[in-house]
Amino acid sequence: MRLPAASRLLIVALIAASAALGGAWLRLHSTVSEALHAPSGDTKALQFVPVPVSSLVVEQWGGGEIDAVALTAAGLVVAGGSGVDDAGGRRIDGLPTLRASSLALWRGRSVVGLVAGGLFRRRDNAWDEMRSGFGTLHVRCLAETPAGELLVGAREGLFRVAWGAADMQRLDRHPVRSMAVGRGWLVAGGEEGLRRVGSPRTSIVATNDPWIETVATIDNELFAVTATGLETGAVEGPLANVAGGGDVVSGIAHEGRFFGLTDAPATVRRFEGPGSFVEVSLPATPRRLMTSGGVLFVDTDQGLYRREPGGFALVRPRREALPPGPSHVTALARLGDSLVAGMFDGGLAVAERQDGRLRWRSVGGSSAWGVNALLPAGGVLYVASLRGAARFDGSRLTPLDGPGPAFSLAATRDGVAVGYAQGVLLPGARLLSAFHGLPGNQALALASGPDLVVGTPSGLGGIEARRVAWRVVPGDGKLPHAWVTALLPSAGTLYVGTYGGGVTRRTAAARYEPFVETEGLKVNAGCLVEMAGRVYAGTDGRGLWRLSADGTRFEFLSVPLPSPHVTALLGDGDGLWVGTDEGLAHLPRVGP
Amino acid sequence: MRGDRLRMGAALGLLLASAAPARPQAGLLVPTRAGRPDASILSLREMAVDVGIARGYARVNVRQVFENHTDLPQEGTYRFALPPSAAVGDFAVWDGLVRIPGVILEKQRARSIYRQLTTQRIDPGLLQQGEEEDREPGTGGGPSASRPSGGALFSVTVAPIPGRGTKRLELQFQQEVPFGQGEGEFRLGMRPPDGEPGVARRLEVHVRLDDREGAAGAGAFPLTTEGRVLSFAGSDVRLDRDLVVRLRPQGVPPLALTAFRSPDGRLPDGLSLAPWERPSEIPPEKDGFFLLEAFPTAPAAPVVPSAATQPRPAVSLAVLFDTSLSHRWAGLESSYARLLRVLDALRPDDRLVLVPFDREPATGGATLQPATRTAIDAALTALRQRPLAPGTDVPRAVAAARRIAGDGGRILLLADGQGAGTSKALNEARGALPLFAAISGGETGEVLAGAAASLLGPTATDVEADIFMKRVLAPLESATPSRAAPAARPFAVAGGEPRLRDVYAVMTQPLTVGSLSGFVGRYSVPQEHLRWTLPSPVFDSGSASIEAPLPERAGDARDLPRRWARARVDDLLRRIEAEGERREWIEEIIALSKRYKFVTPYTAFLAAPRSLLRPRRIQPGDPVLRVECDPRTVSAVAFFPFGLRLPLERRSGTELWEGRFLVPEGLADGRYTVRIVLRDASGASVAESKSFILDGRAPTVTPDALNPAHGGEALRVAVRTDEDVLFVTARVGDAPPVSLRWDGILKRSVGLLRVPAGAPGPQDVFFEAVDAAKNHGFARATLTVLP
Repeated sequence: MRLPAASRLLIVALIAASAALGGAWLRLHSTVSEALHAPSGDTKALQFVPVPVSSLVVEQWGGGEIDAVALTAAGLVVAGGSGVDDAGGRRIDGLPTLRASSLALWRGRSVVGLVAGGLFRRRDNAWDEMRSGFGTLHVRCLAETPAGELLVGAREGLFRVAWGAADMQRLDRHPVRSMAVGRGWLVAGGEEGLRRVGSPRTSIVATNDPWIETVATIDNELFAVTATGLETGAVEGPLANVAGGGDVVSGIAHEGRFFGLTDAPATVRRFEGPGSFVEVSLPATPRRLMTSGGVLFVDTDQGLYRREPGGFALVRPRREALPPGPSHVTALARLGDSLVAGMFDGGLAVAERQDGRLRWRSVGGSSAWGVNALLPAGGVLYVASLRGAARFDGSRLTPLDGPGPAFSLAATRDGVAVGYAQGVLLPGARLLSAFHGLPGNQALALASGPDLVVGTPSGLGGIEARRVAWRVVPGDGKLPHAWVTALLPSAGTLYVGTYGGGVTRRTAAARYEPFVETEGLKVNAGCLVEMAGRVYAGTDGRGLWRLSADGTRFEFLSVPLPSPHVTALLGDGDGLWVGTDEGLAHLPRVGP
Repeated sequence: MRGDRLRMGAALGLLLASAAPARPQAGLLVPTRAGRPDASILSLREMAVDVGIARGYARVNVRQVFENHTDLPQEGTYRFALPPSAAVGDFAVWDGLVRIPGVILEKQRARSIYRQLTTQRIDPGLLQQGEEEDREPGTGGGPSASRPSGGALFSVTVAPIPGRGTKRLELQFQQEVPFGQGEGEFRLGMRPPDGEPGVARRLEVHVRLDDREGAAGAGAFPLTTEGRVLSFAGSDVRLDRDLVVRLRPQGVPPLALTAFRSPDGRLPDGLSLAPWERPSEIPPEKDGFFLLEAFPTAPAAPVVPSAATQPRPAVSLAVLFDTSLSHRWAGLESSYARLLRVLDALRPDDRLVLVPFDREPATGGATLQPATRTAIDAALTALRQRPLAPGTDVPRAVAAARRIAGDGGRILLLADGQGAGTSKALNEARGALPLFAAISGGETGEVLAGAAASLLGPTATDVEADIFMKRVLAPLESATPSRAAPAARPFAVAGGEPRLRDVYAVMTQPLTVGSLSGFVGRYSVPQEHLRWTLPSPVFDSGSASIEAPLPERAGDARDLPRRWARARVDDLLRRIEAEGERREWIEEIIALSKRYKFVTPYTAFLAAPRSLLRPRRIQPGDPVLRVECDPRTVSAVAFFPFGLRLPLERRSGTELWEGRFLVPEGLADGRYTVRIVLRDASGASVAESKSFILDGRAPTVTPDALNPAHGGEALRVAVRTDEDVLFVTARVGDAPPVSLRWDGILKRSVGLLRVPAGAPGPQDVFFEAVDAAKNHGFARATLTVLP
């Protein structure tokens, strides 16, 4: 690895942003524009469509991590798991989903890419969606060229937009996770390798591993963090592994050095030369490195730090958010005064109100991971997760005996029934399955009433006196879809949520009445609840629905949520808690 | 490191992964990168199958040449699913003109060498959410066998396969050929269990029948007969059927004796060797070996005696049905199907009790009842209403069944094989009552083999199942020795003292009309004139006799030393199971394995990671990726083709790393590769690819039209489904579902439904099919029930 002289570092004022590192504000050498002169891709129309502003203010809790920064004259703008915060540290509402992947300034205006897809520009205290003929872009990195063009790296390829233009140009079709600009060249990398994009053609830069997580440049030397560590070499390639860089998972170029972030354990290394690096002392556990305006920022589990001559200073404490880790909420429940959230790819998180704010903490122990359902019963909380069933008393998790991953829970007169992949385990450790007449083995949903009702991917069954008393299977034509994911008994009626067929109602006379307006809706597991006499349904990708006051039809609720993928619901005296794949929201009052 | 790994693959091969019950398939070389058979990368250029069948034993040699159609060197995974009773005797890879044989080693040493050769140990498995977790990986003896030392999924990494070049592989194994109803069946699975069958550019099959006559089985490869050799030869042959030979012995005496003795290890000049035989493989042995075959030839009975045609004494049968939590899914249905089969063969003068059991048997008030249709239906209904519960205590259940069945009764155990305890406990529990055990799971083990009069494993052939079912209801033989009980020598020898020792019962035991049984042993003193007498009620005169010598030298029956060694190892394994491991027994097993060349649970060619399985099929949704890693791993990250970088989390107290992910909306069905990068504390990383097949389409189900039927009749139903369907059931109304079985000739899944009595008129018949990704497909047909 050849390190540039300090004097040469001055030439490149700032460099590189990446998908993983988010957008960064770039000032590029003038020759960069030459590399971008010859378009190799196609061009499609671009529109700036105002995003409707909701009058509803909804509390939301996202991941809390920061993935991109932009240093503006007014201060620091940040974007990440909890959305976009302005220079004053206030959330900028109005985006359709919460989690931002990238951020850049374009002619002084914030441009944001969302993880769920979409590109947005801030204008006059409102957001415009940048819609093009390329469809929804899943943007990973953004950068502005000296000529005022916006470069967009996305899963769908590399794009360029000129300021004021009414079209968007695709420079390359390969997915981009990160890009870097040098003197007269632009390099972009992603899942399918590293490419030098320019005139007259795009060429491959050979790397030892095709997955490019980060790319950065220092003078004419290229750095790429791949799936198997840090590589470096000339811009033309090939790149070679860097000694001591095998465990680097992302990084950034700053002040003529490459700073690499490692995992297990998480450290920051400053590479000084071939095989030589020093570990950078940090006040908290680092998770991401970013630069903007010539300043190095480190996001940590405590918040965002800025590198200053005397060390690192906390410039943005970690905001009120879910505990560090996953923010995909798949189950919600109350345990006493606490709110408990179960995570799709994690364990439990517990929140308590303090000073009017939710304070979150993670629950230790590995007995619950991949949480599917929560049920308060008998003063404790029962947990169904991919590691089986467990009991949580507010401080400790105790695993329960069972045959494997658990999916659903229901309180019966005799105790708690647990739905497993193999069937339903009744209190007293007795399991009923398809062998006993259930329409399927996997008990995705349970509801307790006169019968214990079981929802499976292949129909609905009823258990009475520990025997399968009835079942409904696809051939019966009673269910709009066989895949039953949610059950809600209410006043003698059973609401049945299906994944792909919407909601139907089973009356006390065992008659099935589909809600045709929900046809095609994918009701997520456990996402049927009742609050204040109204039934709510959470769907996958289609947001939140509510049964009309007269009980005749479901209506879409236009409320700001972290994501339209509603994966957990809880109605309580405080209102409706909505878990999504991007965080949690609280709706104190919804409609009339 | 990569290069070392490849060289290791070429030099030694990696063998023996533990087996899940799998439909046998003879030889696939799967490109590692593709993760599935892909003829555009590696195709089967030549395949030659040589089989010699004699004395109820088949020696199978498979030679295959695979061709690399790419310019790049390829790495492949060779897989061969062995029949349950098979033992691998040899494996070799050809590196150009050099034959590189596999080496049998003591398992621990094999592991040690393997670890020296590669630091990588990764075992990816992709689980659909809710799928049963895999068993702990291990290289122990395959659990699928009815013999302790038999049955395994044989897999080996083969590399490098040069670009545009070929790779030749050889595999040799031995297996018993079961006889029932007077017929034997040899089967070599060549049709894939799912998906498109492969094509052999050239296929040659030769089956030599040394002492029986035979012909190709129905629906199998057509074979031409020339003398005692059955042959097939063809080009561009689709491997869409199995090799099946039905053996029809004619004029075979009830007793036959064969011997082998080669004290100096030299075979006589001019002796004709089979293509796969090497004289060096026959070790010198001062002792001789003999095989006494018994083939009672009274008129054969139907497979399962029907009430109308079979004159047999009434039986008192206590059926134990495992309703523990571990007995589930396909295993549960398989046991249920076996139960139906037995119950259908009962007559009203038989007496029956059906006792479900888990940790405890459900004996409350249970007594033997006449086996009327009403009683049977009531018992089945009660069974299907009994929830599954944790725990299994087979000895306790057997003891309860013994009490209910009383003297003269018999016990049928239908279970998944877990919780069997020890052979000693089982034998004490059953007392003098014969125990018949049909095992649906992977754990037949030595325990049941040491206690059961007859044992049916999960991968039994049709003939084996037929034999088993027949014996459950057949008259009880007075002496029913278990296999391999050296002390219980049931025959007498007169005319000399050959000093027989270590005699083991082999093949079908105990003696049954129409079945081939045998006793294999050693002799120390050759004798010219001996008279062998085997008393048994299955012979017309109560016994059978034969005059036959035990010669000084005999070189024809070269399979006998290995057969004896195999029987000896099986016996030692059973003793280990019953009494615990003893150093001398283990050492003897290892020595026998090496000397006679066959793999046992204590030996291996070299242990292979289990990552050589087919790509998993999953539904769209949220599957879980699990990876077993080396203990030194500090980080594991999965990289998905749709751009997801998924850090995996280590499960506390294990070496399992796992991550849950969402398959993106709209991702097309098809095969995808996920790359897993593991890193240790030193920063060194290794990457491994694993494929999965996304399959979100429910299988189509098209039933044949149903003929009207009377109530109480057995109705044959047939249904066409997609190729990747794993199992199909049918039911009438709310009656219990019945599993349908694939019929290769009809190209349909077929089965028998019992039409409910007392409900004439139209009835709905529901069909359900489940594919490998657990998608469910349904269909409905209307049945007219006649009054």
